[in-house]
Amino acid sequence: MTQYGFYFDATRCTGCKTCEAACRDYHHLKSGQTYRHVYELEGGDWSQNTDGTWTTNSYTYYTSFACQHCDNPACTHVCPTGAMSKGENGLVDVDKERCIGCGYCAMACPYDNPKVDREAGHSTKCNGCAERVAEGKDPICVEACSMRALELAPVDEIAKKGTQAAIAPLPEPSLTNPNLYIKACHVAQPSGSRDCHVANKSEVK
Amino acid sequence: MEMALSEITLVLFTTIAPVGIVGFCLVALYACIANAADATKASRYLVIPLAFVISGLIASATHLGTPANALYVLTGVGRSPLSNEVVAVVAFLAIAGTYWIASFRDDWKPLGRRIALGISMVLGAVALQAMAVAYSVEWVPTWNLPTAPITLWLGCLAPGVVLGLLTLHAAHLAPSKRFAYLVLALGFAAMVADLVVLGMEWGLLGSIATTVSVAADLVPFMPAVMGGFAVLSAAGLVILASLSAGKLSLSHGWWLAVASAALLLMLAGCFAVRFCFYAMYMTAGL
Repeated sequence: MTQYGFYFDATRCTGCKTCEAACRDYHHLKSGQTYRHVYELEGGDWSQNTDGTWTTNSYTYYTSFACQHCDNPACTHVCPTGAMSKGENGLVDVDKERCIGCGYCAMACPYDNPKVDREAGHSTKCNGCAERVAEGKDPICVEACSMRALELAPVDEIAKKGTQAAIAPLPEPSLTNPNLYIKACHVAQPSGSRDCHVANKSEVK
Repeated sequence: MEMALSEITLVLFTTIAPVGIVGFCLVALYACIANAADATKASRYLVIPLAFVISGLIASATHLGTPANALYVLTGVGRSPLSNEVVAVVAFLAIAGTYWIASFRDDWKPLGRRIALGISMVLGAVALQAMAVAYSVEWVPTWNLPTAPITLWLGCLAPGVVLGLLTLHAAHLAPSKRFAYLVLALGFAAMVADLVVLGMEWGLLGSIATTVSVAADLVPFMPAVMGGFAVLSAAGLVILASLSAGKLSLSHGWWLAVASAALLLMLAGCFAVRFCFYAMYMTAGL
């Protein structure tokens, strides 16, 4: 099996969130719901120089991510029914006919990806647009990105272009071994950093 | 707090089911050492603590989206902590419930009764442990603390003991004062130990933070909850100790009513502690 993963070029992303909108539209998600999130991270400060002038090192950067289709997914580990599993191309998906909608996958995922659809009675999540990938197409978020900052490809290929996701606000990659590779911008902070903060909390929660 | 409010039925489940298991074990222990007539009486009233466990399980099932798929839970045993928990609780209920029904037969031999009760108690302990570690997963650092399983064990002991004594009185059995004081002292010691462990947990939360969450900020009310838990638990134990001492000359019905009120106070304290546990939810990432 060839493991696929996402590549994200943070040096290109402008935070336009077209990827989120395309995901919501393509998967017919409710307003406010999306399988892809764009987090806006801010940090830095102002300091006064000896000559009285002011200098700033303030910064902003964006991190766009969906399900990382991890090698060691938290969701498949805790799922009591086996409904959450890795399928073709290593993409993680939920078997709706098997899911009991207990929500443990949503609780355990450190990337906040699976959600329980209370009306449908089962979990839902990013499946990498597996049906599109099977047709030789890109996932809808990749296709929609006007800056060409996103890509879905075999991990061997994207690993040459970036490093495994280890920037804030994402968790340490050793936890789940995510298949997300990032070309980070120079101001990106390491996973767990408290020196930056999420500037668009109301958008991403 | 969002998690605790949305999963309030799980808070209820992890409050009353462990108390029911401890209550069951106390009554079962009494039945093992009592004479045949008292053992029969005690066994027939095991339905009271079992009702606590069943009610908890039903409450937990209400948060499921598609309960019809629940049999698939069997496929996750050994891998998923949730599967282990559900199967352990159901196995306890199946064996303990079967014994309760069978206890209405009059031809039980003492050894057979002890074996059946012993198996039920062991399964009860297994179910408690499975519940205690159901959320011990590395991706949720605030639930993966070493203190978390200990607080579940210690938290249910005092109200469980009270439920057990209440059940014995409901069965018109009067355990000796020595027996009552001994188990109440055990409950008190567990409550004090639980407060110590909860204090350690509060301390550990101070070292857990991600870019988006600070653990201690999620449960600023935890010290107040610990105080409330101590007051409510101590009040319940004092009431039961007074009732067991026979200082209050109450009718059988009033005895049960006052003991039930004491149990409710203690359950409220436990509920607050479990609410706190769910409120401190955060993942290692987002």
